[in-house]
Amino acid sequence: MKSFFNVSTSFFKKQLIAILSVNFLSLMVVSVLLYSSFASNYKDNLISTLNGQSSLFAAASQSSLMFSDEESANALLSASSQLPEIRFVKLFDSQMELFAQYNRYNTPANVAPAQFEDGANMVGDVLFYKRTIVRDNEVLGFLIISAETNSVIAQQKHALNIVLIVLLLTMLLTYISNSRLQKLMTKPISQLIKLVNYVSTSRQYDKRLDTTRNDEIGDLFHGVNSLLRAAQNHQKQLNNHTQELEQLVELRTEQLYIRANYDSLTQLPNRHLLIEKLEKGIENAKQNNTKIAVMFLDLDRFKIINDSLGHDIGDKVLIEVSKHLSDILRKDDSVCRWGGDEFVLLAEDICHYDELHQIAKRIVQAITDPMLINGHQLHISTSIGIAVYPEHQANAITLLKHADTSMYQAKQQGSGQYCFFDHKMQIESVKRLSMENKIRSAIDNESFNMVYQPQYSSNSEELVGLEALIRWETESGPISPGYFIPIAEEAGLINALSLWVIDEVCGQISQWQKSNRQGITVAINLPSNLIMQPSFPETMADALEKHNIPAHLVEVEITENTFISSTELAVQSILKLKELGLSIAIDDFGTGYSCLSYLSTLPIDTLKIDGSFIQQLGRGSTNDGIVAAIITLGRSLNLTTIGECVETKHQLRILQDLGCDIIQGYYFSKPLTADEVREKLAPLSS
Amino acid sequence: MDKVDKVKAAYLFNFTKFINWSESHTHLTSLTFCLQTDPQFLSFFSEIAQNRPVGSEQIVISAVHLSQATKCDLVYITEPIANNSLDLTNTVTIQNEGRQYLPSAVFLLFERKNKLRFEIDLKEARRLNVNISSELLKLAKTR
Repeated sequence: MKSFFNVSTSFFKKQLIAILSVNFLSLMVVSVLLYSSFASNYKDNLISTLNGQSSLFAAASQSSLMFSDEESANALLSASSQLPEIRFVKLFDSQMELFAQYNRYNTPANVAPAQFEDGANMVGDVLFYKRTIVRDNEVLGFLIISAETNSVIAQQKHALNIVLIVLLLTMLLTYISNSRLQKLMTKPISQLIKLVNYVSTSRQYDKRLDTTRNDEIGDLFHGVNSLLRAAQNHQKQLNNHTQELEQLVELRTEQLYIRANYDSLTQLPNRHLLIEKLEKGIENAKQNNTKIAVMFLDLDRFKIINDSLGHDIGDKVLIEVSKHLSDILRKDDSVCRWGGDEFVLLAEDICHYDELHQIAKRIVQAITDPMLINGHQLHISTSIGIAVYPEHQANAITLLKHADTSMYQAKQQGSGQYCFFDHKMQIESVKRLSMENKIRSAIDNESFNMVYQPQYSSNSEELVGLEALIRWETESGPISPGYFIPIAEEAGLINALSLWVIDEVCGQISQWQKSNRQGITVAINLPSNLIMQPSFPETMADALEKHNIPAHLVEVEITENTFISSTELAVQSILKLKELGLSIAIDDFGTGYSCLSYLSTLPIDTLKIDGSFIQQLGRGSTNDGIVAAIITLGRSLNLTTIGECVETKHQLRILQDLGCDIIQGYYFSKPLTADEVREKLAPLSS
Repeated sequence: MDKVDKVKAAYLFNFTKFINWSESHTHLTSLTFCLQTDPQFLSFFSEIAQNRPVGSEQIVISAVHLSQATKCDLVYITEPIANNSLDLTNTVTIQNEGRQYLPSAVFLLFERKNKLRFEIDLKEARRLNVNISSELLKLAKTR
């Protein structure tokens, strides 16, 4: 029964079982009633039969009793043989003496009228029917008929069998007919269930139910079909929407991938993708027993362009550089933007270092070519550090680090250089890092000090000016500016250092002015990227105001390279400085890349001939010719010329002969401390 | 009084119960049964018949000795008749076998195998216009 109510049992099966159960119960009740009625009737009939028979025998045997005619009585009773239920019939006279009898069986039964009441008497399974024979109110005798109830039991069994057969047949018929009818009736429901299962498993809404019916099921089917149509439409919309979303997701994924792996500005792979490629490249190189090189590029003077011309121009420079690099790439090479103005090129399947030399040269050449961007002719260059697997390291990150280290080494060699990694560089790199920290601390602690290189008039040999030179005394001894200045530049500390120098020099000029009353012009070397900063003229003006010194006592020394990155910007900045009253000198003139035709338009006052030319004076006509040409150029442009690093009288004489205006160098004086300068200036004041 | 006489007396009374007098006796309420027997027999018979009306009509049977009778509906003859004035032609007669003193008898008693049996003369009964029950006829020897 529990399983019958189990939810997993078919509803129709339950229904069929329920119908059969109800039918069975009804049939059982009917069968029991019929059986009871039948059994009861049969018994009553038997009693009734015995009653009738006894009545007949009583009537017919009266005369026999009255006239003691046993013979006729026996004959009469023998008629009982026709009734199979009767076991025996006994006729007693009024004295209850046996008068006549009929026995079906040989063994006569021993009964007496006194044992029974008139009518039917049941003793066990045997029925006894007693009738008192009366005539004219006189008891003539007694009749006892005994009948077997075996027949009743047999009839009951028979009736039971019939009832059971009828019950079973009826149940079978009920089952078959109900089953058939149920199948017929539930066919549409089965169709509906089949459809629902199809929809739930396949998630397809394309099938429909037959709607030819006009009954309630037909209405239901119409409703289901409407739902399916709505669901199908909804599914179509969902599919379309899903398809759109999938496309969008695919697009977004691709965009995210590109964003995650590519540089948005140059569209080159970024450092993330590069590392993947490098790791893969190292694996390939390991398997194929080839070399892979990491070329770390850093653009020289890019920061100046970016800071001075703005990020838009800087971005375009980067794009242009990336195009150049992409053009240079070989089939299996790849280039990425590492960040800022740094690029990394992977050169795979390298067999000889010559190939790397070729690539590096082509890159340097391509980047060195002037770029015309937004009307600005820009001159940049690149320094390249190269590390090679397997020679230098087996790890991608370390290989990159080595390339970066060697790039710094290349930078130290000057712009547009490339350098292969050497393990010594690691030591140098560590030293550089340590030096950076020391410089940073020194700036904070103002550990630097200034000395001043006197400048003398070529003709009068009088002190006419000074060049401020930075010095750094440490516990381990002095550190050369030639060593720490480039490190400060690379570490981005040069501007801070320069501002300190400006403040220090201006302060010193102020002190000298107070003690000397007659000021002296001091030249300060300033880096190009500081000059190019739009706010620098204002900074300079603040310094002058702070120390209350006239602008003409300060000369700004810049290098030719200041004009290389962006001549226009440099000119604009210098013009502003000029407006303040400062004079401008180009330091180390002759070693850079000045465009001589453009030199006439530059707002400069002084050309400082590079010391390398001065030191070679008198040793070769070419060198002397260059110096002569510079002095002539300066004179023709109305510029003051200064000869640096003059150490001998011979050099002095040549320069005097060539018409150089000012002489600077150890021949006249080594760099002086502020106090020494004050002493030198004292006579002037007197 | 011996047992046979007692049986005979009972038979005689019982005969009255199986005779239908309706055609010859309308509105019959009593019957006179004349007995030509000793007084003991008569007394015994009278005792049997007393308070025992017969049939559905509840006919009262009264027993008288033949010699004293003026009318007899039934008569039991056991010896020659002395009273000749009594008309017995329309009377149902009962006689014993071997001692038949009247020319005809509706009932003739006789013994067989130590049992008292009787014979019925249906012709005589029809002549007397009385019907004798078939119940009785089936026990009797008829002629």
